[in-house]
Amino acid sequence: MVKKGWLLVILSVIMLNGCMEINDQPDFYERTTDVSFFIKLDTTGHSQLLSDIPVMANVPVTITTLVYADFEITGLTNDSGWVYFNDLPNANYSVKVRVDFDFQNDLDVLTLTGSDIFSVAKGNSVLSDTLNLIMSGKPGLKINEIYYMGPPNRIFYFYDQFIELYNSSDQTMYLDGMIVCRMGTCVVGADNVTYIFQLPGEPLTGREYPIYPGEFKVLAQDARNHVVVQGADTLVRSIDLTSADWEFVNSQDYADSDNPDVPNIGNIETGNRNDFMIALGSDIVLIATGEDVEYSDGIDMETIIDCVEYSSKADHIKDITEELDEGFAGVGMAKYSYQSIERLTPGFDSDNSTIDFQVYNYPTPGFQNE
Amino acid sequence: MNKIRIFALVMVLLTGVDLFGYDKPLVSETGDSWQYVGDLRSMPQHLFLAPYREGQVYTLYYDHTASPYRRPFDAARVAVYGGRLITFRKLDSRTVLYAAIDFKNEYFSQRTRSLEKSFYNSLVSITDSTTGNFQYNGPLVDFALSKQFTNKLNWSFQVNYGVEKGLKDVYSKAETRELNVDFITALRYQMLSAAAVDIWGRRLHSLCHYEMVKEYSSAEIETWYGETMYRYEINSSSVDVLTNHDGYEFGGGLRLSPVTSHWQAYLSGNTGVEINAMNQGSSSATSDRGYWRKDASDYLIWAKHQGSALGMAFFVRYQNSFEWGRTGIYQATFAENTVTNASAGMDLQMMNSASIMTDISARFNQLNYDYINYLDILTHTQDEIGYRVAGQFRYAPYPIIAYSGTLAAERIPLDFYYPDDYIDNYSAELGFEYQRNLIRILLSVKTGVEIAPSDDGDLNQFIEFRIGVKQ
Repeated sequence: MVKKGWLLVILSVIMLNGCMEINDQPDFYERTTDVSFFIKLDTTGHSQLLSDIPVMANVPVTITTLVYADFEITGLTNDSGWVYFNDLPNANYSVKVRVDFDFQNDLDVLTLTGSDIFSVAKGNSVLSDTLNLIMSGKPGLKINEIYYMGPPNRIFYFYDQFIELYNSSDQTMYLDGMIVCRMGTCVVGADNVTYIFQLPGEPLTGREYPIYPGEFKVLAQDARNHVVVQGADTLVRSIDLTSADWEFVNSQDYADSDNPDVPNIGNIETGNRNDFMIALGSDIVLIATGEDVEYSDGIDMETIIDCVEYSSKADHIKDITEELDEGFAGVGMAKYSYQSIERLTPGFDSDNSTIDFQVYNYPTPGFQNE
Repeated sequence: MNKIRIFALVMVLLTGVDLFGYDKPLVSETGDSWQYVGDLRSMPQHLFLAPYREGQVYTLYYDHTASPYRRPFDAARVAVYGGRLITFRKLDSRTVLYAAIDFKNEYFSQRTRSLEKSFYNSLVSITDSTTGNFQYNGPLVDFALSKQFTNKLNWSFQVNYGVEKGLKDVYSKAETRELNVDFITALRYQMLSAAAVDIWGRRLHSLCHYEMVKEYSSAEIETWYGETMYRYEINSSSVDVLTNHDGYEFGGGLRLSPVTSHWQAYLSGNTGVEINAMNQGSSSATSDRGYWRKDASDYLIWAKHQGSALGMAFFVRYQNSFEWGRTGIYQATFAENTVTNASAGMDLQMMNSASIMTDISARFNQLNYDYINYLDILTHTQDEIGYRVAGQFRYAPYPIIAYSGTLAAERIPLDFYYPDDYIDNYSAELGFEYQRNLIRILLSVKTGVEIAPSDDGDLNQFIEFRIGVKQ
C-alpha cells in the first residue's frame, strides 16, 4: 500500500513538471536609441534659380509612430541643418517636414515637404540619415485623397469609399466630361482600364462644373449617410456622404443607390454592372480630361490629369509605369480600419505617391487632414 | 468630496475549505500579512490535510462591493455569488478523497476600459475604449487526496480546474474564455514528536482567450505596457488575444511543537515564478504582444506561547518580488518593478475568565516599491509604513451564545496606481453567535471610516453586514 502511495507522490511531482517556457530578461532596454537627420533641400529642376543651396536651419521636423498612442515629437534643426531625437522607443516611425520657406529670390516662398520612414529596433543605438525636402510640382487638378479601406465592421461594408479632388492652381478649372478610371495592371502607358465613369458635360470646352482655386470636390461611391445602415444599425466610424459633390452611379447595377440631390458620374463601359468600387488592398485611380473615352486601347497619356497607385503591402510590385506614378501610397493600411490616404498638403504633387501621400487614421471628405 | 460607500453583504456557510479558482496568486502577495497572527493550523497554506470524516457540505454565497475610491481600471461595483458542493470520502483508514464544485458568478459593473479580469496583475494587459459591465461565470472543480502513509508521513495532492467565460455587454460579443489548471502537492514528515518538516510544490497553468467581434462599434483595442503606455491594435472588425499564464512555486517549512512545552513555532520559505505571455491575432497568425515575469519569495518565522490564561504569538515575515516586462515585437525590457515587504507583528490573547477573552494585536510593515517604466520614462519609488492595531473581546456567557467586538485602526499602503500613498481605516465591529443543534449562526455588523490624504480629511464611511452559518 505504501508503495502505491509513493507512486502517487511521484505522479504528482511529474504533473508539476509540465512544460513551461520561462524566458530570461532581455538585456536590451527600451529608449536607448538616438536618431538624427540632416535636412537637405533637393534642388532637382530648380538649381538654376539657386546660386547656393540654402541650409535648412530652424525647420520643424516631426516624428510620429502608430505603435504608441499619441506619440509625436517635434524638433527644430540647428544652424547646420541637423535635428536630433534622443531615447526613442522601438517602433516604426515616419518623419515629416512641411515648411513654408522663403527663398528670397524668384522662387519666393514655397512649401517644402519631405517624409521618410525609419525603424528603431534592437541593436540600433544611433541612427543617422538624410532627409531630402522637395518642392511641389506644377499646380493643377489633383486627386487629393482616396478613402477606400471602409469602416470597422464585420459585414464587409466598404461602400463609403470616396475620391477627393483639389484645385491647387490659381485658376478655375472645369470638370465637364472628365473621366474617372479604375485601372488594372498596365504594360504600356494606361492601357488597361477596369472601370470608366464620366462626368456630364463637354470635355475641355464645357463650363458647367467649375472647381475653383483651393476648392475640394468629393466623388462618392454612394452619396448617402453611411453611419446608418440596415435600419437601426449604425457604423459609428463611417461617414455621412449625403453632401458629396458627385456620386458614381451605374444604371446597369440595379442595386446601386442614387441620391437624387447629388449629380451622377455615370458608367460608360459596356457590360459593366458594378458601381465604382476600388480594392481595399492595391489599386490605381486615374482621372483624365475625357477627350479619349475609347477605353479598349487604354487612355491616351496626353489626356491624363492625375494618377495614383496604392497598396497596403510594402513589397508591392508596381502595376503602372513611373510615367504615371513613381511610387505608391497606403503602405501598412488595414482593411476596414477607417484609414485614408491624403496628400501631405492640399494638391502637393511630386508625381511620387510614396512621398506625396500620407496615411491618416480617418478620412476628411471636403477638407484637408491637419 | 470623494465619499466612499462600501456596502457588503456576505452570506457564507463557512466550511474551512476554499476553492481558490483562478485568482489565487503564486507566492503570497505582498501586504497580506495580517493572518499570520493566527494559529499553527493554517501553516503552511499549501498542505491540504482533509478531515478524516465523510460528508457533504453545501454552500451559497453572495458578496457585493462598491467604492468610488479605486484604480482607473477597477470596476465601480463587484458582485459575486454562487453555490458550492463539497464532498469528503474516506477511501480507507488513512486516505481521504475530497471533491468540490463551485458555480461562481461575478459581475463587474461600470468597469472603465479594461477587458482584463485583473488588469493590474501583469505589466502587459489589454483594454478597449468602452465602459461597461462584465459578467464572468463557470464551474470550478477541485479534487484533493489526503493520505497518511505512516504515522510520520502525510501527503496531499490537490488539483484545481476551472473553465470561465466572460462577456462584456457594451462591446458586442467581447468574450473571454479562461482555462485554469492548478496542481499542488505537499508532504509532511514528522521527524520527531516535536518537529515536522513540510515541503510543497505548485504548478499553475492558465490559458485565456479573448475574442472580440465588433458590430458597428467604435471601440478601440489597446495593449498596455505598464499601465501608462499603450499601443493601438489595428482596428479591424475582430480581435483575438491569447494569454498564457504559467507559474510554479516551491517551498518548505519546519514545524516545532514540543508536547512538553507551551511553545509552538513555524519557519517557512517559498519561492516561485509567474509569467504571462500575450499574443494577438488569429490562431494561424499570432503576433507577440508582450511578456511579463515575476519572481517572488516569501519567508516567515512564527512563534506562539500558549498559557492557560495568556497566549502570545509573534511573527516576522519578509517578502520580495521582482517583475519585468518586455515588449512583444522588439523584445526589449520596458519595465522593472521591485517590491519588498518586511513585516512583524504580535498577538496577545488573555482569557480573563472562562467566558471572557480579550485579544490585542499589532502588526507593522514596511513596503517598498521601486518601479521603472523605460518606455514612458517613468520612475516611481515609494517607501511606506503600514500598521494595524486591533483590540477584540469575546464574551460567551453560555456555550451556545457568544458576543464579540473589535476596534481596529489600520494604515494600508497603496500601490502607485491609486491617487494616494496610503489610506487610513478605522473600524468597529460587533458580532453575535448562536448555536442551534450542529449549526452555528454568525451575525456581525462592521462600520468605519476610511481617510485618504487626497480627500482633504473627508471621512469616507463604509458599512458591512455578515451573515454566516457554520456547520
